[in-house]
Amino acid sequence: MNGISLIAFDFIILIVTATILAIIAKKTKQPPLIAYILTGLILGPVLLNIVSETEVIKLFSKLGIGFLLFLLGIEMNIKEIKGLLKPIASIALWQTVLQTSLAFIIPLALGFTLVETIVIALCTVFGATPVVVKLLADKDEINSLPGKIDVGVLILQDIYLVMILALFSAESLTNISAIGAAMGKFLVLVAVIGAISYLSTQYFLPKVFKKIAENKHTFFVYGVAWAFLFIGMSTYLGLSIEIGAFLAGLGLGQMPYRNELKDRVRPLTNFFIVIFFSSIGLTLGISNITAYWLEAVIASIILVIGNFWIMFFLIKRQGFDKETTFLGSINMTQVSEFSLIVATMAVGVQTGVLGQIGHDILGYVSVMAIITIPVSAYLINYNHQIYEKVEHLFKPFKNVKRHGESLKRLENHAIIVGYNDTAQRILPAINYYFKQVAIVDRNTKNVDLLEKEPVEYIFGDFKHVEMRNAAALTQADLIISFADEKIVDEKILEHCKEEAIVFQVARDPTTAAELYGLGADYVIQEDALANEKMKEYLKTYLENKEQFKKEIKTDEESIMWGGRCD
Amino acid sequence: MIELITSLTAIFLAAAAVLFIFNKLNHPTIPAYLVAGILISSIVDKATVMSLAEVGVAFLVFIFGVSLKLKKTEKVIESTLIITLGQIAAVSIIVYSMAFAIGFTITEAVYLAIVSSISSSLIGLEIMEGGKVKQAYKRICISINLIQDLVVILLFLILASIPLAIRTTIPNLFVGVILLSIGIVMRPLLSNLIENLKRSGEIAMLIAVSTLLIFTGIAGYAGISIVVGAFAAGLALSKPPYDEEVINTVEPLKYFFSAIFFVSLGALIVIPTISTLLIALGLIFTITILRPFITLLLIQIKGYSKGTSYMAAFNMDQMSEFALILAIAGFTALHIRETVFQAIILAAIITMITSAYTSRYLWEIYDKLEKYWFIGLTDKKYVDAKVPEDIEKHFIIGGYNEQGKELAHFLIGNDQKVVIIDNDPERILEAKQNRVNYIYGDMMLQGTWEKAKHEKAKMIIQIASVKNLLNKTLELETKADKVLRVRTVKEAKGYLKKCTYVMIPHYLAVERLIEHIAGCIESESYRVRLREINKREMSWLK
Repeated sequence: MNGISLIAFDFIILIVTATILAIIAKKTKQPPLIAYILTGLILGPVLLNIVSETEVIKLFSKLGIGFLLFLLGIEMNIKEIKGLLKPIASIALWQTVLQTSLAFIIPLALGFTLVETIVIALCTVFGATPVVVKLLADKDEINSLPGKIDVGVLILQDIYLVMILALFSAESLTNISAIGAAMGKFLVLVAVIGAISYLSTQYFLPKVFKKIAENKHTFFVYGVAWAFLFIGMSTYLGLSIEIGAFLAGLGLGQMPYRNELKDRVRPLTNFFIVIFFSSIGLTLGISNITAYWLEAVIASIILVIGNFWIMFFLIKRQGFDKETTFLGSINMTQVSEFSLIVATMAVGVQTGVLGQIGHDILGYVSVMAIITIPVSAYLINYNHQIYEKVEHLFKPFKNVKRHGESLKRLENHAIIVGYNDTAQRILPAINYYFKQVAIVDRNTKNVDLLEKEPVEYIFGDFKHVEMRNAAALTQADLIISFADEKIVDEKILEHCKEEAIVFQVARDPTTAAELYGLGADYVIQEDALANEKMKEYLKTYLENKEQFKKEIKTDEESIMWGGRCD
Repeated sequence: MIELITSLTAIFLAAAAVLFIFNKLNHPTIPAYLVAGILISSIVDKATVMSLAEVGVAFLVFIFGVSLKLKKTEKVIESTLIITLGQIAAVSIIVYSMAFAIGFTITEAVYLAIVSSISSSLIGLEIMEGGKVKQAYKRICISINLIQDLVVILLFLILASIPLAIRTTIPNLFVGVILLSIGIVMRPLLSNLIENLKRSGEIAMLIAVSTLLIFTGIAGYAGISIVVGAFAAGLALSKPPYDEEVINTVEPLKYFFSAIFFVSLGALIVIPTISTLLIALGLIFTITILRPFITLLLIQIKGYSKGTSYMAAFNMDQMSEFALILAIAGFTALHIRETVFQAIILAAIITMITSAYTSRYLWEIYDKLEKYWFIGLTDKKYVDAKVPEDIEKHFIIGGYNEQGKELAHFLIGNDQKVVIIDNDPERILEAKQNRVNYIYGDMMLQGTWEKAKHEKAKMIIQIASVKNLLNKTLELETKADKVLRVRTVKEAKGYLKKCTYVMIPHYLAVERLIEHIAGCIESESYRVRLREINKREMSWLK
């Protein structure tokens, strides 16, 4: 294995540069996304011109968006956002209309021709799904109310975007009925794939996952295979990778395994998405950038401000509170990196009488993306701080609250990690003391049982951060862990709130002493407790055998009739 | 691009399908991937996919390197170093001379020898648990596999420079040693870096991948095997506790790319020719029969009991993952012919699957074979026991672990006669020091129990909660009361009517537990007191 076919210079330089810049970004508290975009600009034709977009980089960046959207789909629990669907649809529709008009007016006013204006408008109307999703996920805000609104709007936009891509890739744009047919076909296909995803996660996948979810490795391969199945299906049908991946994730998002799967797929996604963001810069040439840079800067400023107010008006209109509206709007102020793709495709399209679209348009759109994406990265990163600073300016807006109560949160609850016989036997006592109980367990045999219990059931390994977030570890009052795994116990003690009561399990005195040292309230040593009892029995046995027989009789009966009814 | 995505789709769908069946049959993962590869060999674009597969190899070896705990490793290696080196030497000499005699080239004979002398491995992760592994034979397996892995990495360094010549081999060795040393030197630096970044998962992953790419890149450009580079990179990131961070974030990448590696390896398999089949048969015989017997002999010479050495040796009756990497490396470097390559992959699939079966029925097979000479030198010489000839009305305790120890000493304290049985030399040593009657032997064997005078005992307490041991204890003909320790209520139900009492630790423990929980919730002072008392007691016990 001496070949260096993949581990090639371009790829190594790209990753290493991205890593170094990401470390610097982290140190200077900048969003890592900026580091990745800079990587591409530095290494690409704009600055050093030492790395070109190789096949592997192309593949990985494709997989990057695919897996990001897959994760996003997993993140969407339909039950949780049901109440939001209507307002989101309305916002998305109006936003598209209003922003398209804004995006149309600006270039027209800047002196572009009508055709150019149309292309630019189509290119710059979208928000950048990967950017918003990545930044919100990094900040753990994707499940907040503004996060859900934004992501919902972006997804609807993406569907609209893919339709436009389909338009540009069509051979001719002259025939209205052909366009209509293409659109109709597209919508039908999306609906069919969505239905396949949904139905299989209702009837087919639960059975499969039950068999394999305990094996970490197999479980992961299944998740990836499922994503590829839909990616393959949608590329075969001429849809985009993103739509397929999103629909695949959406189905899995409705299953109890979602948190564990998210945790496993996230590192893979992070890896690919770094390449994706870096590769944006690789495609830009220096000549592209200089042609219309002034126009692009002006347009960017107008667009950022305009987009914010359009979103603000629309979200507010749906009756969300001030803060949600503000955050939901400030997250959506960028031009999508897809605009580059759309522009690239448009450049090649012959529009008949209107003539060909110039290459400089691509430069114009690129500059807008380069300006608005980093700006919005900062806006998203510091959205709360900005809101605090400017809150007083928004006083005139009344605070009517119609949505948002539906998102339930765990608070002052009990968490049981690992559902074994003991957990089952102490559960009634815990339920007596706590209104909310979360059980985190990774045994597939318990899935059906626990889904019926009146507890918040989370499938997964508590060692992983997703599971700890889902169980709201930082908010819990009582944590009883049967995990018997040192990393899990350490993580619990590290992240729980100070006054929380923590019970943990240890096999031997050494571990027990360590856990006490870290702050555990009580370390359960089953064997020691059991030995105490056993010694009592043996003492009785030595003194009075009949008495011993009587005593163990009760135990035997309770073992026989107690325990799980399996 | 589209073709690549189609290939990847095919790879993962086939892997998922075959894994489903293999999981059901309790078969291991890797042969499942190889079989999946065979199924889709016509669809996959092999040349491009193979370059992704290379990344899989890098990640596999990298994670192995990361999970090596240098300190623990030393300890683990010590116990079986001579056995392992002896085993590797013996098997490779036999295979090499056979292969050479039949007419293989020297290089091919060397490859065949290496491939057949190492067993399944890349078990780095298990080593972390090394301290926890209680059964002696498992500890031996882990140790032997670890040493083999390290030997193989060295061999990669040498094999890459075939044909051996001082002009190329010495510089190669030099580069390898330098890479490894850089890896070790960088350990503290990189762990500081990760600590400094507040253990951000994403950046830890990037640092890990960058390190891996740089090391493998250097290895690649210097013309040595990327396996060595990946291993050095792993070492660079192996410093606890950050290794956990690295493993957690890089493991999905390893799964992803190693799946691609193994499936695309499977895709290279063609319908075997007669000579391929013959070579494969030879390898299978060596791996499943010849090598285990050599290992068994060596372990016994070292002083382990018959049963332990049998279990250890026959648990390693499969081909190594490293052998697969070696095979493809040799094939692409034109060191071995296609027939040899095909035979190695074929033998790997078969031995990995058969091994899953043999390990399931090992004890049953042992019961049948135990009486024959070839299972071992006579047991007498090695079995150690101290039991008074006239003992009666005594307690026999199976397993001298924490629980067994506590109960044994409790009974001795109450003027009872006690015999303990264990097959772990370390525990026996402890029993000797504590002046407890002991038998060093396998509880699966009738002879062991006879030595313990089970028919005259008052009570037998079986602490080892292993199914076949529990059953063996139940089968013993004696009037003694039998107490079994079992882990779950479900299992306990099966034993309830067949013995005097079944102790389930958590069952006995649960009442006290509920008391403590309620106490902590209701009263802060209860909580403080409970913690203080137990904390003190634990640190005292420790």
